[in-house]
Amino acid sequence: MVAAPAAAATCDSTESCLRAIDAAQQHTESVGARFTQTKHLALLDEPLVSTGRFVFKRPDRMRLEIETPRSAVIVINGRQVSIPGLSAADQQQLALTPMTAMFTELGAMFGGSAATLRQHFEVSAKPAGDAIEVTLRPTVPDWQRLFRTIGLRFAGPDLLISSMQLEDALGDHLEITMSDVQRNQNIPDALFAVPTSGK
Amino acid sequence: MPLDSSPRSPRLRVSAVKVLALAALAGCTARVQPTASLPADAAARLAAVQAREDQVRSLRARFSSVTRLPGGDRSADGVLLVAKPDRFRLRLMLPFGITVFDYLNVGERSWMTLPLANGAQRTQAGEFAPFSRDDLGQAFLRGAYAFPGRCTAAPAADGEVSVSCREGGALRRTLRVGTDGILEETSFENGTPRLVIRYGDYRDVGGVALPFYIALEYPQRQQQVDIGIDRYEVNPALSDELFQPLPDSTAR
Repeated sequence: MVAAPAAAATCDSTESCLRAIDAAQQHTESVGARFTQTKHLALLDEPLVSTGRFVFKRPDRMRLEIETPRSAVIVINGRQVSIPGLSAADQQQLALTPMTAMFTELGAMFGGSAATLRQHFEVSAKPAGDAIEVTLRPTVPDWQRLFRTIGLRFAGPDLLISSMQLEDALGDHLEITMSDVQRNQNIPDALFAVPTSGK
Repeated sequence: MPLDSSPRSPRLRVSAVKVLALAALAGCTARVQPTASLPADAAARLAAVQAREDQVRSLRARFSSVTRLPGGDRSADGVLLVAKPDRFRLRLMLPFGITVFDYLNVGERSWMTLPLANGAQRTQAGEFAPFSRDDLGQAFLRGAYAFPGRCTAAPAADGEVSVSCREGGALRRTLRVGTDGILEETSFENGTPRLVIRYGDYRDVGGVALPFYIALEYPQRQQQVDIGIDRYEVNPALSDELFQPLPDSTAR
């Protein structure tokens, strides 16, 4: 039986807010959602917008299907990474970069293990209406070169992920807004298969 | 007033950072209009091409590139800023929005940032950006970088004009110029072709014909970069802040 998630209104500290998120995600096996990603580059006056579908499956698998403006599928399966447009050698090298480790750890948020984030992030959380907002600041130098802050918003009675804001170290901002968020759909493992050679 | 164009472009294919830069050169455009033909006379055509380039004082280009290497292809989307005579910035992103490369040049100084790289990979930064400062100057800043020394034009086959630029008696660059614009440029090093840049898909942007397709080939390295320009802005206002080094960048 799934326990009722703690109401955001009862969360009044980082500790209690993280506990509320963990409780809500405790029985989460998968999360699927549509997303709109808006990239604000310091070098451009107008944002770059893309849309697609996001899937997470416990414990550390993520799939990003970008549909517009150009289709692309990115898969993270533990320490394996598949990104279109990169050679096998590049992908192997990418798997060793801080980015892969960081995104894998971020997946802990969706699996009810928010406390583990403290290994590599300074974490703060606060209530915001019916939502909880979590702010992560990397404490590892290699990760700090990637992002200054990562903001996550968990909304609704089930505290499902509703948006992410990433501020990178170059001063660019990435906003990801989720919609049609669904939990514990039947998601085949094959979706997370990472080709072992080529693209 | 900057000119802006975002025509439906053919899918860009570029690979390396080098390619991106080259593509940016070609990429200023406005509305998709037929380009005005260049003069038939060889010397007049060369002068017209240089005059066109001089109209571009600053440039912002969005592009896609595919770099073809012996070990496989590498794709990236990017943004190029150029503020003549001596500043440009190139930034590349992965398909899901993560910035992976930033290159800044101001005068004789340059800085590079590789956000995804770990410490060991940063020590091999040169592998990520094998282009030379001279390559980028030729591609983006143009002027004396693209037309070094003394350049002479002569009629060639098929209505083209052949241009040779020599410095100190040595051949530095050759160009093939068609009726729409430059078709091909070859840079020489010790008499050997080092870099070949091909341009195509010229479109008119506010009276300036710019290429929406650029291919860079390094014959001796078996590398080629195909660049497609998604959008150009000609002579946009670019603040000095856009050309500041990042705190964590590596000076080259």
